[in-house]
Amino acid sequence: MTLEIRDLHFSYRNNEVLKGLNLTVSDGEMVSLLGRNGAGKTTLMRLIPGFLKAPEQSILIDGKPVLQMSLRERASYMAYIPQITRSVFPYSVRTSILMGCSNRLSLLQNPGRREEQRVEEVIDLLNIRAIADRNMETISGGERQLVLIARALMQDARLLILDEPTSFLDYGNQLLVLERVQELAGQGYSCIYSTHNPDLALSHSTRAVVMKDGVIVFDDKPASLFGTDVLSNVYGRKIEIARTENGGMVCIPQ
Amino acid sequence: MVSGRQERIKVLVLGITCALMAVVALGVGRYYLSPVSIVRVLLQACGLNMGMEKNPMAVVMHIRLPRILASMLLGAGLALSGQTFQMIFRNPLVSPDVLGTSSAASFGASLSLLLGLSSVLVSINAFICGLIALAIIYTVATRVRREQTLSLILVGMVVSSLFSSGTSFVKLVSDPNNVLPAITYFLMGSLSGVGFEELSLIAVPLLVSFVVLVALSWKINLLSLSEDEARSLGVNTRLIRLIAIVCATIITASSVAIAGNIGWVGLIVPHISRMLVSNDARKSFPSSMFIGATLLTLVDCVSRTASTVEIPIGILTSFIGAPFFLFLLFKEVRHDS
Repeated sequence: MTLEIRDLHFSYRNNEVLKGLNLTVSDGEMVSLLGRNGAGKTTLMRLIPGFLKAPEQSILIDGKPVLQMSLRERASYMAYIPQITRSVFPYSVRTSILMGCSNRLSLLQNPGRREEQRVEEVIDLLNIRAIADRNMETISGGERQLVLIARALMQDARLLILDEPTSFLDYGNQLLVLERVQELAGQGYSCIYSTHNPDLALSHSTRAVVMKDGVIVFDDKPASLFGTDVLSNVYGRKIEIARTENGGMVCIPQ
Repeated sequence: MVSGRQERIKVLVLGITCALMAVVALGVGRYYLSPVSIVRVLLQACGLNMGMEKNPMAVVMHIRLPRILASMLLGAGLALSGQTFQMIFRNPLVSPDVLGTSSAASFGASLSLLLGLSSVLVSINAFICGLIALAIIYTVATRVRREQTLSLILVGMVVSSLFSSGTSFVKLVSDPNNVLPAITYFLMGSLSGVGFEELSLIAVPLLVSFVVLVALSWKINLLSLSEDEARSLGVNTRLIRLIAIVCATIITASSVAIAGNIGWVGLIVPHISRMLVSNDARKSFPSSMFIGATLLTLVDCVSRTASTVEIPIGILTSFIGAPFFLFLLFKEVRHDS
């Protein structure tokens, strides 16, 4: 499955926020999206699932425009994982995961035994059985993100769109969530996530995409950022990327 | 898994309580009948010869049965309608009259009483006015360039205010000796005038709405998530919201059409149901309906037996509902802080 973004322009009233973006995400890729506030990351993350309307031929999945798909068809291709989920009427973890199967149900159909069995499989897959009987209100932010990823797996969608999945998490939970996403990418899922933490992009992505003022200024392996001043230009201050002893990379602000 | 079975057992217990309440309510009144006599009367009405005399048969079958059926149907309906509105507007403090359809139905009923129409026509006009209000609200709200749920509530407030003014005007010009008291009494909410004729008017739309809403309960769960989340899960939020609003409005308008304004049931019962059973509408819709039916039937029993003059049911539900609402507000504040 391939997500293709072709010459994507988007404006809020007269303010053009995306200025001709081109991007392709294929099976097994984990793409991190970096950029300052207002660079257009969130707009892009909302355009891909069709929450905002882009020109029809700009966003395609396997060659088919996303906006030509029904909501159910879209949900079978891609799953959107929000920064935070908070229902006024919080559901149990199992019910929240079960919601992922809704794209396969007809209007008046309720989930059945088969869907409930699949929930148990997904719970084991993400290793979250310890919280399976709890309510969404009583689990931590990191656990909530894992439940949302579990819900995405219930959708059977192959593209995962994660809008700043680590924003409200402590460092340990940031790593936990991204490690799980990395495992899914290893199983062939395509993942794209936005983040404000370049260190996470360096350590947890197969490709880093850096945006500035509605334009992609870098799109390559994270290792290719080494020795460039891309991050310095984007964030407006000198940032050096250093190699660690085990071959990883970290950002060091100067 | 275990909790799912527990929730189903709780729903079953609530259902049994509701059925017992109905039997007890059929016996309560100036002419007391024991639950055993009630069962015998019902069996005789089904064609079995239980040796019951004419009087108890008449009291139960012609006077109390339509009234109890109405209190059961309206109690269940108001609770279901209230919970549906709370979930689709993602707000636990809204009630079935959030869109102003109760005000519109009240206007229809008041105008019909002013014109001296029969009780059946009063009900029909109230029902029609409720639906007209919904049509206006939906048509205007979908043309407002704001988030749909917010524009529905805002337009609902405007329409509600207009119809309330209309009702006030009808009261102003009505005869203060005969018509005004009739309007005032009707609007306070009472099941005293409900017979099989009125009940037959609303039974079909009410039952169809029940079936549709219960069938949609899973999708209504998803409407209580954010709009983007629900749509990303493949749910046609606009279509489901429209169907749910139409059904919940039919229930609200039907209630006002035959029994006037019965407040609070639609607000407090969904909370009790969620506290006792679950937030999942697949379980809390049936439990809300059972609790609503039991509560309204109980209140109706008090209304017709507590004093020599029948107390309008709307007054009693407010007596119970207002303190409960304050309790909820304090609970919400504590929860947020």
